[in-house]
Amino acid sequence: MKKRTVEDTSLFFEVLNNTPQESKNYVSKSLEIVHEIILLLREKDMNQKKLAQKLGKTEAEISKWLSGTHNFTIRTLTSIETAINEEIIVTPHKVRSNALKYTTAIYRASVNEIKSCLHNAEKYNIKSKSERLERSAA
Amino acid sequence: MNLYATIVELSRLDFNKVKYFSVKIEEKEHSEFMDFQFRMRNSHPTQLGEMNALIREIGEKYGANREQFRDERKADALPPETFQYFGLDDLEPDNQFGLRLYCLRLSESVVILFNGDLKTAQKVDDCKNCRGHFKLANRITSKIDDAIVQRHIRPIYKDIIGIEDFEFEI
Repeated sequence: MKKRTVEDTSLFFEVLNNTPQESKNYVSKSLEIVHEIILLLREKDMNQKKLAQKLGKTEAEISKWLSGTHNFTIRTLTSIETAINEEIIVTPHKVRSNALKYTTAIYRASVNEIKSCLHNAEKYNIKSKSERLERSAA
Repeated sequence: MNLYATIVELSRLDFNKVKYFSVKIEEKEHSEFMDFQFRMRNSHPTQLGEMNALIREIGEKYGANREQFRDERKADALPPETFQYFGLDDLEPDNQFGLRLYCLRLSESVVILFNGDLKTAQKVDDCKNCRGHFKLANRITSKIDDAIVQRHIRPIYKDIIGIEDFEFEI
């Protein structure tokens, strides 16, 4: 068996390193958005045909949108978000705000639960104490 | 004169989800893919950078899914149909169609990268830059398809078994 030929690809990475970060982010972001839409469609058990019907577009058009790197406008993204009833792009600020909202809600629920436990325990203790007093008096 | 070619591995282009290969024609210094890199780095550096970023992203995060490639008769090509290059090269007078890189998607984990150039016309037959690369990509694709059918080579997970002894005429 001959030895496998392996070619050096340093130039590939050299070109990549010299590419503006903005360009690399653009490629990355484009693929990420389309991937998110594909995942959401799967979660909603929706295919391209159903999405096309909801948006009044042809299936071919939707297929092009989801072909990896479509230059989406906010209008198109909003239409898709409305059709699938899910958010595709969530800003970091919104994530932070929601995180605070959710954390506060969890905190309040926990506090209420603890209060309720303490109240019950207190009632039980008083009752126990009075029971004990009654018993000791008897 | 009959020319022969072999499938070669591209070092470090073995990402989480995709391993990339290329084809080397005898008597040529580089593989088809690296020849593309050497020729495009000076004339279209920004677009080449985006192409390389696309190759890395697909390889690292998503796998070679059907939607991420365009059909080029029997072969495939990058970028996908709706891709719009973000950066424009100063040296670029006609940037309407952008760089094309012909390839063959053997599976979601194995892609063979060929050669390409700047596309200057809607139809590939009208583009003097890409016509030759398109034809060669399709000729090589037919040979590789035949080799798989005849079990000379076999794509398995992120590898192609049997390429060491596989040589084909182009």
